[in-house]
Amino acid sequence: MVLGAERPRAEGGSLVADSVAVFWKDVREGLRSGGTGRGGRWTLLFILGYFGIILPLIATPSRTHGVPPELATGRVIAGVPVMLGLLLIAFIFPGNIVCDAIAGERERHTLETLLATRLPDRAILLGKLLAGIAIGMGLSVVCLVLSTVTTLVVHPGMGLPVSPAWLGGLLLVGLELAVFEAALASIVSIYARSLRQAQQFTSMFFVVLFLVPFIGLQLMPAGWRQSVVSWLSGLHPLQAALVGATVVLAIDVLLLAVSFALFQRERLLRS
Amino acid sequence: MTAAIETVGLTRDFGSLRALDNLTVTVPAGSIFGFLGPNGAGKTTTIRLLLGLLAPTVGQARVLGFDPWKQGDAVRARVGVLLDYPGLYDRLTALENLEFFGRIWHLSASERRARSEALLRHFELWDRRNDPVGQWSRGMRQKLAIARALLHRPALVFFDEPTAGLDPVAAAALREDIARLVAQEGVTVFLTTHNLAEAERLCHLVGVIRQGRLLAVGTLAELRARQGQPRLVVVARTVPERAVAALRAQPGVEAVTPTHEGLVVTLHDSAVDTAPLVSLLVQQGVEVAEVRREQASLEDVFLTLMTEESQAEAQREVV
Repeated sequence: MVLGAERPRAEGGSLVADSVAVFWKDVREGLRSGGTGRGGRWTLLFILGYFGIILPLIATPSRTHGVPPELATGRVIAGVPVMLGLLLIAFIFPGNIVCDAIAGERERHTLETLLATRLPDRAILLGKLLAGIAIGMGLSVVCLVLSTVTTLVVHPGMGLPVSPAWLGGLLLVGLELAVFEAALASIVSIYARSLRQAQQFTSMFFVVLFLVPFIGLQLMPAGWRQSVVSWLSGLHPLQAALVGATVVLAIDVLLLAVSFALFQRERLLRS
Repeated sequence: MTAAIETVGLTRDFGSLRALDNLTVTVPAGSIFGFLGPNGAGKTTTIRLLLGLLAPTVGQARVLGFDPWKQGDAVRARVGVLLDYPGLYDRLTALENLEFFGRIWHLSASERRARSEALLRHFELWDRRNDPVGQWSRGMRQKLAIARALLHRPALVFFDEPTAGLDPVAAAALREDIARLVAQEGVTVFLTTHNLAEAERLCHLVGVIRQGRLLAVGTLAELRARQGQPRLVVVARTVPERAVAALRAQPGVEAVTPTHEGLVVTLHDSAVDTAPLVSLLVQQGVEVAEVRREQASLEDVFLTLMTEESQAEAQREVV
């Protein structure tokens, strides 16, 4: 019979297989968010075009007031948009995807149906976090390739705008930021009343953690800025990267632990 | 008979609101249980408790032999669910929706393909299989949600308003499917609906709930019996007194009441054979124009229960 005839039960499957099923679905949904068709794709193209092409094109010495002259040339100017694009995309996208996958699903009445399946809570959450992180990192890499190619075209003969060692470090930091944002978005989404509210709260953290220091640097007096940039440039790159990466990693572990502890069926239905 | 669902004193509070109050009910395996009640009566809370999505405040439940709260994974591995919303992923195609749920249920790739095709063809959705379901009509989405609930061939299916949004032909076909599923495959169906005619046609057992309290539960015959005994209405020009007396003396006849159009014969129960009674009337010279047997519909029972309960509630408030 087409409809019935009971089959053996699928119980207690591996966490990996269950998470992969959720990941499979959420990646598809995430890449099509903003509409099932062209709307979502245009948004994606705009972001990649801005960070991958336009920003590297407009990175010129005239935009580096206050930066020591020895730094305001060559690879540093070319490298900043590449790094900025990679880090911003790795930071922005996972949060939006995870908000959509939890608060958005609850709003669209698909979350309860998912919770009524045999999937354990942790497999659902893991799949959703991985989907957000994978999309964020995937787009970061696409942006990185685009911005590198653009830079090589604009500054022929200069070589790679970011050295391979820096690139490895950047990808690591990008991954950590993606995990940070995904975990934070999952916690916010558990309690948010709507997708919009979840995204607003997650964006607020983005503003505080990322944009305030960035904008602050732009607004501060030229002398101060020069001091800050000199201090930063005087740091040993590897040491600075390791300290920063360790701090963010510790925050990631904490946020993930909180997220997995909070992500429970009953709480999700009652929120 | 094995019970697919068994609850004893199942209660759930949300703060000061008692959403479900002392629900005790047994649903035999291989039957269709109709759970009827107005909006906000506690039907969805009951389903959530039975699926292990909510913890009971007090009371116990067994679903397919498992405690839903302590063994929720085991329960959810064996049931199919259609909640009050289709719960489909609008950005995915119909095939992708079923593919995802097939992966959840650990169906093999070939099984997923075969099962998805069979169900989509059965529900006449195969031609639209590659469309994002966000572009579909409500009825088509409902059909796909039903297909999804049956994808892994569950032993127990929760259907919350399954025919909502379906056109009359599709609704009738679905009712046939549900009846066949139970009769041929022994699947148990827990059905909530506002369509009382549908419940009357499908359900072996019916429970009526209001404001979290189970007002009545039983077979359709048992519920109708609460409403009063079955009656035989006889339309005739004249009915001699001797015919009324002869009828009253017959076994199975509770009372005979002459009316302006003929007689109303109250029967002991619905098993009474009425053919001899009609023959007797004819023998007594009654010119019978029309005979009809009347019994309370499920709608009558439901409305009476609702009225009684609201009157009882008003009295409780006065006290």
